[in-house]
Amino acid sequence: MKTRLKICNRFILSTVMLAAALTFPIGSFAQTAAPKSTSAKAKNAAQPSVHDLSGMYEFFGRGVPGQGIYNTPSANPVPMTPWAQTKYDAAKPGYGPKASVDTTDPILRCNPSGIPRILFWPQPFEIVQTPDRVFMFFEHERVWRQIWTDGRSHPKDVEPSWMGDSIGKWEGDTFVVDTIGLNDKSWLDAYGHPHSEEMHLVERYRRPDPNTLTLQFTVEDPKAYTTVWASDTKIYTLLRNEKAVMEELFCIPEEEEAFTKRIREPAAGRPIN
Amino acid sequence: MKSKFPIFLLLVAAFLMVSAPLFAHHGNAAYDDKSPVTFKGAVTDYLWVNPHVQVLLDVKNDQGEIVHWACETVSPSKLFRSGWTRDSLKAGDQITITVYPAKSHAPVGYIRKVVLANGKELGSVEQAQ
Repeated sequence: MKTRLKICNRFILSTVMLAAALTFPIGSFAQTAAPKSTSAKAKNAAQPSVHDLSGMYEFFGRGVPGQGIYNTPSANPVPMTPWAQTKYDAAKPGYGPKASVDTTDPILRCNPSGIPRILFWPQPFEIVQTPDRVFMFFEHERVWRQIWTDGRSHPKDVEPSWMGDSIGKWEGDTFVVDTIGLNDKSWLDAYGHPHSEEMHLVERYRRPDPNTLTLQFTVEDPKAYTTVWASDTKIYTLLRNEKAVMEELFCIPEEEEAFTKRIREPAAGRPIN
Repeated sequence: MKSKFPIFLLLVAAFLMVSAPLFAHHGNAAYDDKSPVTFKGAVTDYLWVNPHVQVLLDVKNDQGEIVHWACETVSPSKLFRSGWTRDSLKAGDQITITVYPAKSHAPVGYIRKVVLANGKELGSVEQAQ
């Protein structure tokens, strides 16, 4: 009977451990995601809790002081080079000083927002940490990015892409993400600011409390901007309970077109191509 | 402690008065967000689709004519987190709706609030943003 009990206990213990392992990602970043009920032993084995960014967050927390402007890095853009100015002048954005009712924002044709624009889009994203990567899953456009945390460097010849090549490391309580290799097809923001393939983006994430994630980033792009553009502080709020869901939000060309015909064109008072 | 209470109330009032900016992936330049309008109508269709949930409705104007309005709001996922579902409305429902009207004066609007015939308000669109 004792043996049976022992086996039974072992089985329960291994089941609990397995469940715990599946529930809380194992690795140097995420172990402290465990709730308060976790044993003291597990707590001692964990990394400092500041190194845990995992969770679903949303930018656009109404009433959050110092929220940061949405849709652009900061309210004070830096001077553009002639190359960038030409692109900016040609753009017809839906927001900002050049906001137009018949915007030609590339995302309305279902082009990806790209990095960094999608980071300050007011739609949730989820951060998932594994031993060698941090993933960001974005509800908007249903896209994701990976940030390597295994100590590697950027590849020598990076092929430009929408999400770029990202590596990350902890500096104290700040997770610093370094990204290059972004193509120049996406706008930097919803105001129609451009960026080039030379853009070097550095994001700095902190989690000052369990419910809050903050981001500050710098855009270094000498082909487009004469100085480094530092963002304001974007503040994201953790989604909890029934709100912590990532819904399906693909960009569907037919739906966009139907929406344009039904809503955007009459609202604009003219056809939109 | 006594003096803190009214300040707290003021803060709550200030919070409630702050209006979240209108957000749509296509921009907000087409709508007049300074002059919301409220009217009653009969839902003809309720589209729970991306990129924006849409409510189509027939509205009787001052001349007694029926005008077909097309109104949009945020994405289904945002509305879902605010308590709306794909069954919140159906054709035939009588609703009172508040929108930011299009500057073009076309019968198109950006939804701020929907109240059902029984007086129940659907989840806050502002909070959904």
